[in-house]
Amino acid sequence: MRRRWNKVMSRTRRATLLASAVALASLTLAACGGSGGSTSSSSATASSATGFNAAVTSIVNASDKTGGTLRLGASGDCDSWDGANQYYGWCWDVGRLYSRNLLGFKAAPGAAQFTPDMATDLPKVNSDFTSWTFTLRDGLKWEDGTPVTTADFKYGMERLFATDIFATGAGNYFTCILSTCDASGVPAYKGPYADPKGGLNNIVITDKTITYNLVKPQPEFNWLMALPTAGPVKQSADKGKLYTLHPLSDGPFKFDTYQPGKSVTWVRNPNWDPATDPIRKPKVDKVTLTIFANPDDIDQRVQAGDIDLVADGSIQATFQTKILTDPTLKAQADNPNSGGVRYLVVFQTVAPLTNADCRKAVFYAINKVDLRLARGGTTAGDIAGSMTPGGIAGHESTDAYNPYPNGADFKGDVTKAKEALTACGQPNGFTVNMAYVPGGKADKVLAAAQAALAKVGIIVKPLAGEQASYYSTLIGSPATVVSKNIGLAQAGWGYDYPSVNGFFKSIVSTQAIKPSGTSNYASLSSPTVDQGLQAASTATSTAEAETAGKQVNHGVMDAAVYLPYLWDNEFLYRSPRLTNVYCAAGTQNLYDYVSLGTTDGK
Amino acid sequence: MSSTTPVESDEPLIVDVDVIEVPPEIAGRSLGQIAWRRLRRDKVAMVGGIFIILLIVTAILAPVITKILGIDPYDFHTDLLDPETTFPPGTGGISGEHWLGIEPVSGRDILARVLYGARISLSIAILATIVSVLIGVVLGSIAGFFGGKTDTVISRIMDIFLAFPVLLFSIALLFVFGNVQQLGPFTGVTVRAGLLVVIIGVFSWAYIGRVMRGQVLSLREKEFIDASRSLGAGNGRLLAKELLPNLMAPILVYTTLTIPTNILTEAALSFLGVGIQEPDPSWGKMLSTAQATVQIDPWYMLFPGLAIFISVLAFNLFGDGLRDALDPKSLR
Repeated sequence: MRRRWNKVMSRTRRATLLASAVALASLTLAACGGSGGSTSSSSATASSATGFNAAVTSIVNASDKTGGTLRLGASGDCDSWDGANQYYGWCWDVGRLYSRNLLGFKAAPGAAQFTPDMATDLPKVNSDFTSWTFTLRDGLKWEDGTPVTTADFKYGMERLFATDIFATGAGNYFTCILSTCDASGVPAYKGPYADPKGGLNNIVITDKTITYNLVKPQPEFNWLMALPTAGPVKQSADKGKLYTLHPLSDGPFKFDTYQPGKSVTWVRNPNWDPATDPIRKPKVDKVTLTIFANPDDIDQRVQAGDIDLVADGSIQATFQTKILTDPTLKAQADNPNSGGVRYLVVFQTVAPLTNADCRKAVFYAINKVDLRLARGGTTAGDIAGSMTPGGIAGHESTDAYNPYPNGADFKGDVTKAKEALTACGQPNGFTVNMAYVPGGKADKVLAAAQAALAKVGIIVKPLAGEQASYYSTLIGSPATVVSKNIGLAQAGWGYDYPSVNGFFKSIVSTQAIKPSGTSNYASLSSPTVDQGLQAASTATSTAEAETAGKQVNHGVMDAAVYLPYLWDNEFLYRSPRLTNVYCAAGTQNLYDYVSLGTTDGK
Repeated sequence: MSSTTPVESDEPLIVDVDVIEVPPEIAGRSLGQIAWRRLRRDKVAMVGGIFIILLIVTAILAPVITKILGIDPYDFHTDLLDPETTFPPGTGGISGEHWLGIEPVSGRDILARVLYGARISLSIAILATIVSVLIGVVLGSIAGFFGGKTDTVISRIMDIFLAFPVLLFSIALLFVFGNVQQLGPFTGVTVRAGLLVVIIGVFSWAYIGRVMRGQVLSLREKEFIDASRSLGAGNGRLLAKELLPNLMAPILVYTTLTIPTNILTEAALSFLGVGIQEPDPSWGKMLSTAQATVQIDPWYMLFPGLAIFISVLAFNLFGDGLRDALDPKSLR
């Protein structure tokens, strides 16, 4: 999900038992602390409202004071402000300001709590999870005063099928369950721009109800209806690709100004009625987001008090070290589990990695401790032996399951690596290109990988990409990977919602393979994995989900195309000016931006 | 002493030749010798010159030095770093084994990387200078000598190149060509360095070109040119045999003064991330990485910064001294 290359934001929606028969929903995710107890402070259980990691489990500076401006800073613009194309986790968090959906997550710390948002209640669902009916609340309005109608929900969903425009969002969760897809995952319905007369017949609307008729069972549909991807869009306000410049708001804030790549401001939406919103309790009058070319600048402004929060979680090394070594500052920081994984893609389409043993040599030789250092040290997360992070069914600790052990200390097993190289016919190693986006940690990850692999003769050459196109047309395009001879690539991933499919579907399923913008970078197509995903989606007990999840995890690791090295932590800092600060699983383990207020009301 | 007898008789005047001495100072000296004497007296320039020699020797001998000291610019020493903050302990990790400390995150030895960085930075700067001097001298001389349309065209080209925002265009070009990994038999840092030599050289020739054009313009009116021409010398001979020797002085000076500019340009490009790539060391790249955390570990920034500063200063001081020594009009 969060395809942020240098930062993984996960949406940890904790599935509490829903009123419906979705038995799968009882995965409990341990707050933001996550699993995998390590030397890092991610498993803190602080119950006080102050101190390091306090916001992980409680509300820091609880206050009812209203007024003022929340000043956010980020080191890059969002991939899109249009929910249909938006994938960055922090952007989904900011989305709580202006974008609502039928369902949502409570504004409370810790585990994600599902709750109706624009729907009156949780949906009625039939016994085989193919028909979901929601009833719309009264009194919902767009920022221009017009009412939010059921037709807007239908249109918002239909838009997703214009996959040529909306390629980078989470649309592929919907396209093949609301329309019939062919073998390569292309839906029959082409979207409202290509097919203005037609429509998505699988969505049936009345004045107040919306029924989604799925072409196949999807017990996790509730999760999907909490994503901003499928939020309502008023057809007369739609501008296709340009809608991102001013998406119409149905939430407490609306877009005021937007200079792409530079700044955004939101002001209160007078047409938002708090009585219709059980989730959001906004405090401030205005929110500003300033985009900085240099991430260190944000940190300096935070320290100076000009910026309240690093919205994309991109605190830099200087500030982080200062925080870790200064007790006063450390008491204002949080280190939650993000539910994401950092990994290297090992492309089996590029020689000599076409040979599995050559790929395994990379797995054995890599030094995960140095990679963790490159990501920022122990606060960056826990060493990962397999893909599934904590909180997802099928997760196993590195001690329990580590199919390519790289030494007892995780610093690389030169002997095993050399054996693998001999087995694949490259005893003296080989040369390979690593794709990455230069800047900050990615350079250091590259250097660490180079140093470790050089020990067995694998020479890693840098292949610099650009932030804007890295995931869409560089490593996200299987043809480009081959033409540019990309053998390795840096990647990170977090779950959209904490289920096996929520994490894995987009990155390892056959269905997720596309000519461009695919997140299954290595085009992994494994029947074991696909079957496991299928089984996980219809699992009716936690045990079933665990079995299916393990099948997926093991299947992915067997293919030796994704090399996980770290289960990510976030490192967050809360300015003392902020009130109602808590780390929410429903907002990617970042602070819940819509709840934040200021101590001085300014 | 000659006799002071008035010459009245018919006797021839006999002079004692042994007594008359020709003072040695009157013997002719070449331009080179004069210049060298004047340069020798310029202490500041000599210090610069000595540093230049030291730098070049160090750069050439970097592999030998690092081997003797038992350090390596590419080896990671992450066990010496604090696992929570990723920084070296104490003052930048300076220790008996790592005289200038170690890099954060990777633990690589800074002294080894500064030495290897010297190789890379100096060779790129010197080669780029040679490229720009060659282009500049040739085009500038042709423009100044032939005048007319040729001069107009070449001068406008020089103006265009002088107007280019060098850094911006270098960055753009390096993005376009940057992922070239192999050119013929060359790979890795050689290809990257070659790319930088060409780009830096191509963007800095115009400055020398203008100077050369000016020099040739004033020289071609001098009488020795007319003399040669009247003896039947063609243009080629005039350019090569008459003008060029007289241009050696300014060529030498501007070469020496362009080198530090090119050191800084390469450092800037590496600083911005488009110059030398991982894992190869470059002073500019080290500065770039170090400045992000200078408040925590200022030592990391100190040494590559000093290296750039000393190199640039040495070349500038020597070049200035050289210019003063070679300029017949300056009073020394």
